[in-house]
Amino acid sequence: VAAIRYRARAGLRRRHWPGEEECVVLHPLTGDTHVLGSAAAHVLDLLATDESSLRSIVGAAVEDEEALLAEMQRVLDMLEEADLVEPVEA
Amino acid sequence: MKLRDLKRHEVEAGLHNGSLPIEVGPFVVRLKTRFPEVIDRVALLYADYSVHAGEFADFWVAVAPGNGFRRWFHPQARFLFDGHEPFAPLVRAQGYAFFEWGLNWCIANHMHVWLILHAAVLERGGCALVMPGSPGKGKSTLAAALMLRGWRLLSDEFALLSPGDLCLTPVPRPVSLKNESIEAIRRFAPESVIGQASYDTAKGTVAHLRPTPESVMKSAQVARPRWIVFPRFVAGAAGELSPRSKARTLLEAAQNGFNYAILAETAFDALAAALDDCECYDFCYGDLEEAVDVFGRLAAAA
Repeated sequence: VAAIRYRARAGLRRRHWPGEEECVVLHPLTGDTHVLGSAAAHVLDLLATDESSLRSIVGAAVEDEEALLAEMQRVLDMLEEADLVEPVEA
Repeated sequence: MKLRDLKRHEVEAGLHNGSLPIEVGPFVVRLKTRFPEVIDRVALLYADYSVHAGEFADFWVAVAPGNGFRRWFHPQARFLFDGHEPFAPLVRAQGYAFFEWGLNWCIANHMHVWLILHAAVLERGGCALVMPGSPGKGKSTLAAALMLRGWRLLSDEFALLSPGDLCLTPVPRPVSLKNESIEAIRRFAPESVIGQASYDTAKGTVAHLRPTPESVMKSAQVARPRWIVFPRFVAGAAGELSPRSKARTLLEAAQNGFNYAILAETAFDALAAALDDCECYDFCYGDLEEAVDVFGRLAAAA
C-alpha cells in the first residue's frame, strides 16, 4: 500500500490565512468545499507539485515510522474520499 | 415619489392591475393583487419605498385567489411569477407572507450577478455586519433589534456580495419575525411598526417589521463586509463573541449560499477575498439589549 503513488486533482483552489492551522479547498469539478487540517494540507501541497507514494511522503528518517505511515495513510484515504487526490496507475 | 405619498385608492388601483412598480433595493417589483389584507400590509410596510418612474420591472409577481371553489371555500392564495406558479397554494390568510417568501425565491433563483448568502446584513460607520445562518437561530430578531437601535438594515434575508468589488448591495425589506420574536421586538421597541401576523404558516406565526426610513432611503449605498458573525439565541445566555477561523467561516458561509454551487470558483474566490478583511465570530446571546451593546462596542472599536 505504501508504494501506491498519488497526485492532487488538477485545478484545486486553496486558501489559507496567516495564523490559522486549517485551510479551505474548492474542488472545481464537484463544487465541494473542504476544510483541511494542517497534516492534510501538507500532504496536498506535496502532491500538488509532484506525484508521490506514501513511503516518499513520510521519508525514511523518521522515528516511529510505522505509526506515521498509518497516520498518513488515513490522511490520504480522506483526501481520496473527498476526490482531492487520486491514485496514479503504475 | 414614495408609496406613502399616494392616496389609498391610488395604491389599491396600482396593486389591482400591477401598475405600481416599487423600488426594492436594486430591484423593481410589480405586485398584482386584489386581496385587501395584502394591500393593507404593502401600504403599511412599504410606505417609505420609492415608486419607480419607468415601465421596467425585474419581478412581475401576483398574489391571486385560488382556482374554482377555492376562491370562497377554505379560500387560498396563489403566488405567480411571470404568470408561472412555482408553489402550491397557501391559505388566503397567509397571502402577504406568501408574497414575501415568493419574492425571496425570485431573488435567490435569478440574481446570479451576486453571490447570494442566506444572511442578515447591517451597516454602521461604513462597515457591514454579515450574519449568516439557518432559520431559527435568531438572526432576524437580532437584525431587527440592531436596526431599531440605529444600524442600517441592508437585508434580513440576503447578503448580495459582488464578486468584482466585494461590496454588499442592500435589499432592505420588511423583517420577517416569527413566533416569540414578534412580542420580543414589540417589547424591545414599542414604537416599531409591525404588520398583522399570519398564523399557522410553515414557520409558525409570522409578522413583518417595517424597515427604518434610513435603511430604505440609503438602499443605493453599498458596504464592505467587516464582521461575519454566526448568531445563536440561547435563553438566559450572556452575550459573547467567540472568534472563529476564517476557513470554517468560509465553509459555513458557503453552506448558506443560495447560488454558491452555481458560481463555483467565482464564489469561492469572492468569499475568500472578502474574508481577508473580516473578523469572524460565533455569537451566543440571550438578551437583545445586551446583544446591541456588544455590537455597539464592536463597531466603536473598528
